[in-house]
Amino acid sequence: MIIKIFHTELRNAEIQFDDKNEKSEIKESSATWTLLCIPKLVEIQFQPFGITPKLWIDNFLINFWLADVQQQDHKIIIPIGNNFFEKYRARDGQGRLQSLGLNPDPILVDKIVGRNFHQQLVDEIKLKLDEKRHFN
Amino acid sequence: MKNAILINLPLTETLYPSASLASIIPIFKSNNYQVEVIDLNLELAEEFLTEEVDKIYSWCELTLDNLEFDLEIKLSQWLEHKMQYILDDSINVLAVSVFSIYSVKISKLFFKLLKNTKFTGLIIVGGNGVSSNLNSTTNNKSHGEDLLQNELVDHVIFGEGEQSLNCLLQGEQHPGIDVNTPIQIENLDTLPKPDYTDFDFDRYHDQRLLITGSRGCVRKCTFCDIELTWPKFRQRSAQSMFEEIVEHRLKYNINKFEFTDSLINGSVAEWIRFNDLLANAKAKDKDLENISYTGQFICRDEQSQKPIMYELMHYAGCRQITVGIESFSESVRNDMKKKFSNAAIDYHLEQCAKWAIPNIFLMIVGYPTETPADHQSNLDAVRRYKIYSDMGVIFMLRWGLTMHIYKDTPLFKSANDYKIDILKDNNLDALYSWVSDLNPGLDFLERVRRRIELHELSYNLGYHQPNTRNELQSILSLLNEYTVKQNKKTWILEQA
Repeated sequence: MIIKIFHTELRNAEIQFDDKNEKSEIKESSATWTLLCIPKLVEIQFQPFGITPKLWIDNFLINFWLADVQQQDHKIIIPIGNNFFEKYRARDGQGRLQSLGLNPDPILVDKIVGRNFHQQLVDEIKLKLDEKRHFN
Repeated sequence: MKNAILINLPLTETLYPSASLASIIPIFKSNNYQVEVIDLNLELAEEFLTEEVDKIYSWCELTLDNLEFDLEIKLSQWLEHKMQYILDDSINVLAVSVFSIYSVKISKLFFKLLKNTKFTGLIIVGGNGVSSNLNSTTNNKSHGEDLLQNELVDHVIFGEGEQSLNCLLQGEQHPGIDVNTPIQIENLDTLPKPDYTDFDFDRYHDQRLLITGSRGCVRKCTFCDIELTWPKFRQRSAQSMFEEIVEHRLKYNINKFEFTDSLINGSVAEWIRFNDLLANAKAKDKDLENISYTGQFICRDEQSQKPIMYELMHYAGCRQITVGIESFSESVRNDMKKKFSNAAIDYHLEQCAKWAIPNIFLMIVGYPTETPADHQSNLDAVRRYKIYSDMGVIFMLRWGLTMHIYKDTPLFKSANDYKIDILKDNNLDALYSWVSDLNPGLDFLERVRRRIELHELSYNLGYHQPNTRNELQSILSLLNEYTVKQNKKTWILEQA
């Protein structure tokens, strides 16, 4: 797993996971670490305090809310674990639904969220296909 | 006092105000008209039941031949009721936007009903739909020409409306007025900026404004008819697009913008300049920092679109792009003349992942040359790109209604080369029911089978698929029509 942070003012950065600490050289305002394991939790401390660095995990720019990243003045805490990507996706779907407010119009949900299998319609279409093939 | 009414007919987007009307409002105002906007598209969605709206949409989208009798009566009465607004003596001009071919059916009904009213003002109709032709195999007249011939309207504006409308309101002639031989506007920077002051933003679900950066396309994809509307690609200057966004942000307090362009990056150089301008302005001015935009984008390789472009798009506020990938089979895309490789898709996704740019991928199931192996390429890619869906980079995947052929597209014109007999498999509307003798296994039923297989796999892997309900309903309607007509045909044969 490759973790990278970037901020134009970044001077120092250190990563902590599974009782290990690793500093990183700052190159072009960014720090990069390659982890050989998938830790449950990663903390990245940085200087100067008070900046909000951009964060990439495996070359994906990470949305802090979707990844449940906690930001403090001097560090960010990233819950990773084996299901990081699944959790990210789940929160994304949840966020899309929440953006429509309470009791949203089903048409709008289908248009904006689009996570409905529509079993009945699929079954009807399959039935029609079978009928038609049989007919031919 | 209002003396001109501008109407937006279904079927268009209900999420935001009509840019078509907003772009002609300055023309009316500069000719001393006071306008009122009636968005019948929005009002229909608000005032009909969901299942009624579904049926009306299917009817508008040509996947349902006729509305049920009761619903047709209800729709007619509703339109007549809405017409009360325009019967006021003060109204001199009624301008109606027929946005696309999907507005043609309801516009026929609208103008037929309008003819029965006492309205005596000038009736002008425009929009891309007036150049459309619903019965392309039997009738060469466009919808606009039909309206004129049947004396249902006074004037039709074909093609781009801004200059023609201005001339019409001033009593002058201009190509494109009442004759389907419009000329293109060469310099888009000379057009007035759209005016949204007459729209009530609170009525729209998503407060965003449309912006047009270019017209036309730099590609000539075989299935696409954009070249009929805009033969030549024209690009606004980066400075002009940037100024419009800033002006509208400050005037309407709207931060979200959507480009109407067929592709926002037709001119890579101008697109980079625009993003550079906007990114810099956002970094310096707090009032602008929440500006974001969405638009349609073309996939290209790294040589053509360097990583810096994606980075600038991120900082400029790109929140979503819609990309016509069409097929994950490179061979099918080559046949479509899409002109990008599988490596280009990989590169594009990597860059979008790096800069958190969500994509809506538009797909076509069952292009005439699509073999089972090509279909398998689609299935394989859906599995391979799952991580991009999980991370929201493939924000949505849209498989559509299966391949359908529009009149006068390059594919339609080369139907003989593909051995496609448009009329041969004519149980359905010809647009959907074609079959190619070069690939006879790919009939409509096989296309639907592939479409459903892709739906199932995409759903199971967690992809978001917008408007699926609507699309599946339309596919079912097409299948029902197919069956009914096939049965009728058999019955006729039996009787004979």
